[in-house]
Amino acid sequence: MKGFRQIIWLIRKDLALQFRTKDTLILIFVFSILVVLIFSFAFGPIFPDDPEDRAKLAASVLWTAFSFAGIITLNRSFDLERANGAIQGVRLTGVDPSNFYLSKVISTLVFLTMLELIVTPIALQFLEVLDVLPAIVQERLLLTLLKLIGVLAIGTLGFCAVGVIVSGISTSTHGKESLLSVVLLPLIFPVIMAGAKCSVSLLTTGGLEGNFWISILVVYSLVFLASAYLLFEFVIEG
Amino acid sequence: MTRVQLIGILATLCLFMALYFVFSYAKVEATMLEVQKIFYFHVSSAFTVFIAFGVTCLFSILYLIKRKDRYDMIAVASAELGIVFCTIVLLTGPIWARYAWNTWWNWEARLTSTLILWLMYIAYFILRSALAEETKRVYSAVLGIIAYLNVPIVYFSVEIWQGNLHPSTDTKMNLHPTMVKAWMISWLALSVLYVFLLVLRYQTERLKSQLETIQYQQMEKT
Amino acid sequence: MILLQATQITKRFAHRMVLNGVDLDVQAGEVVAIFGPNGAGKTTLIKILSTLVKPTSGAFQIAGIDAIANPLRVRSSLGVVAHEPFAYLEWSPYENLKFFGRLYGVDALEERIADLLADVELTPFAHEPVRIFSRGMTQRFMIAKALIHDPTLLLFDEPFSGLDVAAKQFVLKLIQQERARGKGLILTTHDTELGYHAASRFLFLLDGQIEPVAEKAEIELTELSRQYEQRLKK
Repeated sequence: MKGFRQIIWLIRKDLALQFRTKDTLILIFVFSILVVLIFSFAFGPIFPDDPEDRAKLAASVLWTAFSFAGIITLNRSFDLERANGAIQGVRLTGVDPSNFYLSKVISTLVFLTMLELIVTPIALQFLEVLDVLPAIVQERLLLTLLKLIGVLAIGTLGFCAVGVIVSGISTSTHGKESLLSVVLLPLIFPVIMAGAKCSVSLLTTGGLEGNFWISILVVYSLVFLASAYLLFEFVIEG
Repeated sequence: MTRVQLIGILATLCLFMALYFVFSYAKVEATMLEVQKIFYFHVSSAFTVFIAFGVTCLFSILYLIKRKDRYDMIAVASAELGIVFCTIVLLTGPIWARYAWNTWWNWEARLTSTLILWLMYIAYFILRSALAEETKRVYSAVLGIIAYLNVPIVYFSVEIWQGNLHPSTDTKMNLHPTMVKAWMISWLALSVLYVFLLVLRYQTERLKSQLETIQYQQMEKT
Repeated sequence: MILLQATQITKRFAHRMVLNGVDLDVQAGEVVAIFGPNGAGKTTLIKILSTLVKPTSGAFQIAGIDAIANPLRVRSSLGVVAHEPFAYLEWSPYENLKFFGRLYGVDALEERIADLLADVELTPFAHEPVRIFSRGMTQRFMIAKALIHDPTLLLFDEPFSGLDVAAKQFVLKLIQQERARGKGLILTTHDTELGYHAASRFLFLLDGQIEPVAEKAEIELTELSRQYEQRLKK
């Protein structure tokens, strides 16, 4: 019971500090929009007319933008813990390292999902996808968007499950922000593949029928949540 | 004659035997002619990659439990060899592809997965070189485990992502008996080679550590 | 009552033996001052005794519990003041104390925070971010944070460093207050005068080992300083 309360307080701390200087939310938001715009312009010359192709492009852009946004968020999150030895203060309270891991996964998930909630509709509009969606999807647009956010959330969960523990081991070095990217990106390929496939399915058919990619996202999240939960003790306590 | 030297000789013999079997004994394949023979080393290397990284995962776990430095040394040595064999797979694959499908790289499933694998373990070494002595072993052990857990997921995901252009494993059943024998011998040869190099590499790590200790003790005295 | 008992603690970094067999014990109500020059391993020792770092070998118990096998269990008995604040400097003392107090599971937290902030004379700044504090104020905040959960054993690593005279006296007063409350305290320093006034027992940390020197009653400050200088020259 005490552990559960500690997790809640840790999550509240993360969200308070991430949002306190609204800096972080705005920074990551602007970054994500910029990535989307860069893709829009970079693909300008070959911008597809076909709705299905456009949906594919949108899916790729979304998952890329959110992966990079996620990496920045994780970097900042751990920098915050290491600054002034704050994490040592947390360790001294006798918090179980595995609970600390869970709290980080949840708070990062919440933060990134909120970001996705805001950026996705905007991105879809910039990529001119919303207008060309097939009729089936247009009719249930809101529901489809919500399902899309849902898929993004599950993908983000997998991303955070691996990302938090990898940040734990990659951000201990000073001034090597790119280290996290190099270590984390190869590990999250399955999330990006599965996530993109699910997103395309949602945007072109409004549903996930016959799409088992969602099970890959779920399996991935479970495998890494479980293993990282067990391994995180070694990251914090050495 | 030390044990290591014996393994080395055995490895050399196996390799020569494999060369004979692959180039003389096995029938030359009808459509691709001599280039098909890459297959023997390509596939054998691939299997060795999985064994090597599996050994890394195993000894990473052992290190985290027992904290004996030599477990970490074995893990690193095996990871290094994993990368070597992985590189062989990534180099021989395109050569095959060039002659079979007239392209150097076509994002075919297994090769793509192997590339991702290669990237994951290159990251393992980049991480190791960036870490300080105290945390290096523990943190890379954690990564060694996480990366290996990802291997089946990556292969499965990429497999269903792409249509499968890779010559399916069923063709193994259609191989001429001489080819099967050649393939098994080459796999044996590479496995023995892996063991030999692993032992050598591990011994090098251990010597390096011992040398550093002696060097430091000398420094303390002055 | 013995609060901490350490036996043959060693610590090796790469190939360097920083601590080479440290034996140490602390009773409730006593303040132990460990003197040592820079690089002697004082900070390393405090890190190990606070269970933040594992020793290479050796054993130690806190309140009878094996601290190496069960670090999480003993931490609630410890209060640590180190070189780094171990806190979130974007937050105010109030927010920090509330957060850490909640993690420790402190009862009547609001009241306790108010009392502590009054003790360390930071009440007017209770809601200012710690990042803007002076060195002296930060140190007082760090002490308040170390005390939030009322630990029985305190570990202070060079608590006087970087402080002006008034701040040093204040820290001295706080240490004496906690001692009067029956706490045990280990502090490291290379300031023999302040260490002398703060502590009831003195030790030297030299060449990775602890050398007992004397109890306060047995030795004068001048003698202590003389012995210390002499040992340093060797």
